[in-house]
Amino acid sequence: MTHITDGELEAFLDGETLRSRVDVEGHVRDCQDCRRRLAEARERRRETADLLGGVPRRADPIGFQDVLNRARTGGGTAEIRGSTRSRRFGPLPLAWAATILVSAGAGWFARQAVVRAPVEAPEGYLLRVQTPEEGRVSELDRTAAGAERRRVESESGAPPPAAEKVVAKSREREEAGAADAASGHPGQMRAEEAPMCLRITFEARRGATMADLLAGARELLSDTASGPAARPGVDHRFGEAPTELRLPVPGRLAGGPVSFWRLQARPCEADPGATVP
Amino acid sequence: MAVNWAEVYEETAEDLVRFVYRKVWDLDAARDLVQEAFVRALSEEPKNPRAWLFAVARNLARDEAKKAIRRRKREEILAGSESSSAADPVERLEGERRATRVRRALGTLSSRDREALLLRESGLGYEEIAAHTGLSAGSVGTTLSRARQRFLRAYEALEDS
Repeated sequence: MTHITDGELEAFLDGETLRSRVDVEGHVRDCQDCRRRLAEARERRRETADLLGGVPRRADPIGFQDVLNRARTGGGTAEIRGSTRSRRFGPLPLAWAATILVSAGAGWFARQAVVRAPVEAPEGYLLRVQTPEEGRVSELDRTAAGAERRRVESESGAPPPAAEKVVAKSREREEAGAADAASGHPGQMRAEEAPMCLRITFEARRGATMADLLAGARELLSDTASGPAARPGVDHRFGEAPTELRLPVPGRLAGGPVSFWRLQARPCEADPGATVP
Repeated sequence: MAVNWAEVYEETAEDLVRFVYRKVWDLDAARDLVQEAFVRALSEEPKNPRAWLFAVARNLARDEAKKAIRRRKREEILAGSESSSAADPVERLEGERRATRVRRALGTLSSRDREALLLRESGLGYEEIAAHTGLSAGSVGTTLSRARQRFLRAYEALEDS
């Protein structure tokens, strides 16, 4: 067996696999020269790590929240140096931080779900989320008015008034048709002329982490995909703006760090939903 | 699949600070640059966040090098005035000398060797180092071995001088 090269020894010590560990270990066991070189390489690594590993620490370590805050303010590197740091990294407006956070996940969300809703939807009107990959659609409206409307529409088989005004493109009709079939509520949703993309913002209590918020985003999608029955007590309704939907936090997130959601449906062309607002 | 940026931050930020610090020699600047890299990542949503962050941080560090030198001097002055009453002056002086030697020893390496070494000391694997430096993954070990030897030789020479 040939001797082990310096690079192979280095890779061996780094846990990389340039050469089988069994080969190296076997060779080192039998070869005094390579055993010595391995010991030297190990010592060099220790010394190098000792010299390069230590970085001065500050008492105020930066956290991810600082990054979110900085993303919010949109500041450049030069702007936050020196005395401006403490001002710009002050107490966090968590709702805004959460907005930024969701925007980080918005690309995912926008890829996963498209909301199609009547632009002039009256309060309590149905809004559904479709997950293209799974072809599932669910209702978000659980108001009494919405429930009554669903019941009437289901019995009559007629589309809702707002939907009658919608002129959908053929592809969107097909998608809406497939979605209706999947939801078991035919005629309750119609595509708009332009697909609506979903953007989420939400407020969070102090201490909420990005993991909490993204998990919440996933849960929301999961919730809306699985249907309202999976989340009893969740009140979905439109807020002040016709294309805005406010959602109290469902299920197990209640009592957690995330306090509520707000969904905004906008035309995809105008708002791809994957950028920081 | 969505990137869990909180996790990426937790796993990467410290390594990035260490990596950038060894380029700009200014802790504040390093922290700022790392933050800046993450801010950019949030809007870019790169497929490989860790590799992307290191690449962006490296470029930011390069762009900021001259400013970093000035900031370092300022910080050293501040740190000196803050710590002079608490720290042992001899110990502090020795720490500063050591940092200077490290900086100079790194400066003797070729840019590729230095980059590979700093990336490795920041926790990157061979494939990642290869992607950042243009080396083949198979030659990273050799490069690192050479870089360590030259770095330590240079450091020892500076100690003796």
